[in-house]
Amino acid sequence: MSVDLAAPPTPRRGGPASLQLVRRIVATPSGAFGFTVAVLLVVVAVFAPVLAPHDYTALDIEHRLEGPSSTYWLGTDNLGRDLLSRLMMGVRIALQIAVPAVVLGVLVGLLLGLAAGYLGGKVDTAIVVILDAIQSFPSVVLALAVLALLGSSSWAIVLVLAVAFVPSFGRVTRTSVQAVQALPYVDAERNLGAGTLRIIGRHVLPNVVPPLIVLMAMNLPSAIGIESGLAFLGLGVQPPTPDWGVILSEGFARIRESPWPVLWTCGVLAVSTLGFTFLGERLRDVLDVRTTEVRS
Amino acid sequence: MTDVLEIAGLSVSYRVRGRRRTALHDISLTVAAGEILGLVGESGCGKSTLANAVLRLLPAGGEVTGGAITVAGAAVLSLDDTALRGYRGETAAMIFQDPFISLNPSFPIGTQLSLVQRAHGKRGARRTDQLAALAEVGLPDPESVMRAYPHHLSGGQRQRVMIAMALLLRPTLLVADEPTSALDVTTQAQILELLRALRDTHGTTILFVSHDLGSVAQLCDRVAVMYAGRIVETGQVDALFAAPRHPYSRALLTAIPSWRNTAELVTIPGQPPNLAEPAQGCAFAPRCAHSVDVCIAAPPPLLPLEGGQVACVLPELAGPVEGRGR
Amino acid sequence: MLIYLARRVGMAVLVLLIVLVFLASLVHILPGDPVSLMLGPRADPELIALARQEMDLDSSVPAQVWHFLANAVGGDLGQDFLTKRPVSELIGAALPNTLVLALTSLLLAVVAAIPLAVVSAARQGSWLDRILGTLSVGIVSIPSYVIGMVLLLLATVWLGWLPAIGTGSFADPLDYLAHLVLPALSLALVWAGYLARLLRSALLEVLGQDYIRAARAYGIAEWRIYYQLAMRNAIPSVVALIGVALGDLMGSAIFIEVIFTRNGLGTLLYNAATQRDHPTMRGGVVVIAVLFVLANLLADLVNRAINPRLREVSSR
Repeated sequence: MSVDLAAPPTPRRGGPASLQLVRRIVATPSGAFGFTVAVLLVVVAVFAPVLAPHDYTALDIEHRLEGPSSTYWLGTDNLGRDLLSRLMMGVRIALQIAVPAVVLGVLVGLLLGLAAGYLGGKVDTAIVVILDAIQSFPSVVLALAVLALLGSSSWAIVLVLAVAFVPSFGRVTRTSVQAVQALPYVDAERNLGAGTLRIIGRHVLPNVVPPLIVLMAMNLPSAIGIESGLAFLGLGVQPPTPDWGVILSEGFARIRESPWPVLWTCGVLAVSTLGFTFLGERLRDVLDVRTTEVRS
Repeated sequence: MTDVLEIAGLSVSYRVRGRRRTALHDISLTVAAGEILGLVGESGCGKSTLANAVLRLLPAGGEVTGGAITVAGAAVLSLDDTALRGYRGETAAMIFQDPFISLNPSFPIGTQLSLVQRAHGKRGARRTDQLAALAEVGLPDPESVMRAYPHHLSGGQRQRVMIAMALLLRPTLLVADEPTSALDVTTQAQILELLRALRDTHGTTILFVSHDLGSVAQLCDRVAVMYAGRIVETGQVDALFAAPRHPYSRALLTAIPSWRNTAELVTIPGQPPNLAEPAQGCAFAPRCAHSVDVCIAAPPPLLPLEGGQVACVLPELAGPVEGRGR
Repeated sequence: MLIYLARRVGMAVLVLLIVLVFLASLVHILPGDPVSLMLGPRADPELIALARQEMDLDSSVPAQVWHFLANAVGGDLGQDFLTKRPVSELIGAALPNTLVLALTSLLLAVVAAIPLAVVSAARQGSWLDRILGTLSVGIVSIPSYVIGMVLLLLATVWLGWLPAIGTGSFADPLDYLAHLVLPALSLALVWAGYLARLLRSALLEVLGQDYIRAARAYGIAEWRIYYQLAMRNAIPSVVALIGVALGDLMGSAIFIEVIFTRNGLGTLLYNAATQRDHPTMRGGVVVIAVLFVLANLLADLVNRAINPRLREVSSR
């Protein structure tokens, strides 16, 4: 993986620069799609209770497992609850778990990467080996094991997901640190007495932030996918909370009576994961980052 | 004697990032059956482009913008896909410069040879022919060479393998694009000997492209000198090397360092021309010591002169020059 | 060669140890007691103590790991807490199905990826190439269970072609295959796109090489150039990924097995997890870890075998 370190980092400004960035992101069809999806999801997550047409907990047994109608735009689930409203609440729940997981992963990964890059030697080797071990192991299996042992509280899920993402963030940081340390002008600064913190702040961080942002966008779909998957298996968020995985599992149980819950849930899952992935890809091009492909 | 290779008015250009560069201007050339013609010039003069064009192997972006190529009576530029595949290897075959990167690293030699034969519908006795070809090019243990991978062989061996591959289908014309440039001097001499032997035994016509005047002097019957995408002079090797007529040929030959001449190293002043902006007149004029006004007005045509051809308006100026001889 | 092998095996063992230690330490470090989770909050304390002893949860972490390993070498992976059957027996019954699923999916993915990559490379830059590119990136990010679910809907609920539930038995190969199609397809779809993309890049690089030009110069047919001469040189870059693919497939297989009600390691693990059956889970996770490490090792060895130059460079 290589980051263009030849140019000194550009100072960051708010306002016009961000707008320019957005414009570049939406310049391609996939970028536009990704950006729209991301914005839409965030808006729905924040304003779900207001935007939802019905109360997501309201039962209507008479109209259970119906298809789309004028009252219930997407149909109803096995207890007659409005699918659209439940799915909208689901956005909030998905992001409530996925975002902290990714953020936590970044923070821990950043720390470990910095430690590995700066301290070098045995610490570096140890960290690399551990990161390798975690990364190579299928995260779902790990999550299953941990949740079975600890029970399915929200923070346990966030924790498990974060652990799965730490290796990718850690490696990217470590590579960045190593690259920066090798630069002659950084060496010069160090000789002039600049402390490690200052070097980190002025050189490492600006160079490591773009790839980390891209990686965050790419890992978010994984987080959502695994989180929903765990809920589907009954090990994540529990019913009646309208997590997408829960809706999926309830719909799956009644799939022959009505395909709609499964269909719509698969739809939102697909659109969300696609959206964030395309956004991440476009960000990678726009920010001119050349990370190696990551799959967690 | 019929001509095996006839090039008439060939022009080739490349389109790179929207800009068009003319690599060959109106090239006309003939090679008689059983003749070895050397094609010399500095890097970028278009000799490789010419060699590639004969096999229609121009890289992406390259296109023929005019002229015709005839090999053993076949109109090369108008061959359809099937005929083209038959032509390549059977009528005309190419020997590449760097045998290491021209041989597929993942297949043993025998398999690569078989693939060539199979592509031309050769059924029985494939192995026999392969062994014969490998023996003919001077490889002492053909059996083990057949089983070997390219990285097992030395540079000279690989080049011999390439020549064997070229011979498998007994082509009429062999186009050798700098076949000895990647080899050491001793091996170079051996390969040149091999090529001559092939011509003597099978009557194969050879187009020998090289920037090494020494090799050309050793091997070729006739030579054509190229500059900036045009042929500036042709002639019998002995005559041309002894008394080059075109100012560029003269400069080229004078520039060869020699143990005889211990004076300062002679170079040709100026820079090679920019192909993207072709000159109006003679491409060599800016660097020529003898250029006059008419040289810049229009490119001089290639006209016959004393057993060869020259593209210059001032051939009298050549005169007897201390050339290289053999 | 031997040194290399030893080093890889060493790394593999290390990974396994880390997994074991991790599992054992989790129980000690973090709140939440697996036994009470399993038996319920109002279980008899004596029962809890007995269970803890049975599952060796009272020993220290190193002791737990040591006991487990010592027994595992002899083939004893513990006892399923609820059914009392040996874990090794349960795994032995379930494993073949999962292996068949994983390998079939991988095979399907590779078989699909090859022509996709060739078409994309041959028509580089065309609309087809770009659409395939976008699709591959897209499909890879969609969770596999979503694809499995959709396929399930399409093929069984709406069209009624293929069976939705169960594994079928080896005794009836055709029936087994019929049950295998949809699950394998769900898993394969994701990887087919991704592999195709990687293969395309490798192909493009190979196609720029001189030996491909030379092949054309001898009149060798285009299809042979792509599928034999170029592909042979491009495949190694993809083989390295097979280990990663298998690992990912193991994870996704859990969902797919549950969705299609297949009797495999995934469902075993899933049931053990929902019932908090510690011994079975531990056994299952360890077996998956071993398989995973073996798969990576195999992929690595295959890679060196098919790349003749690599073979010789390191044996010196």
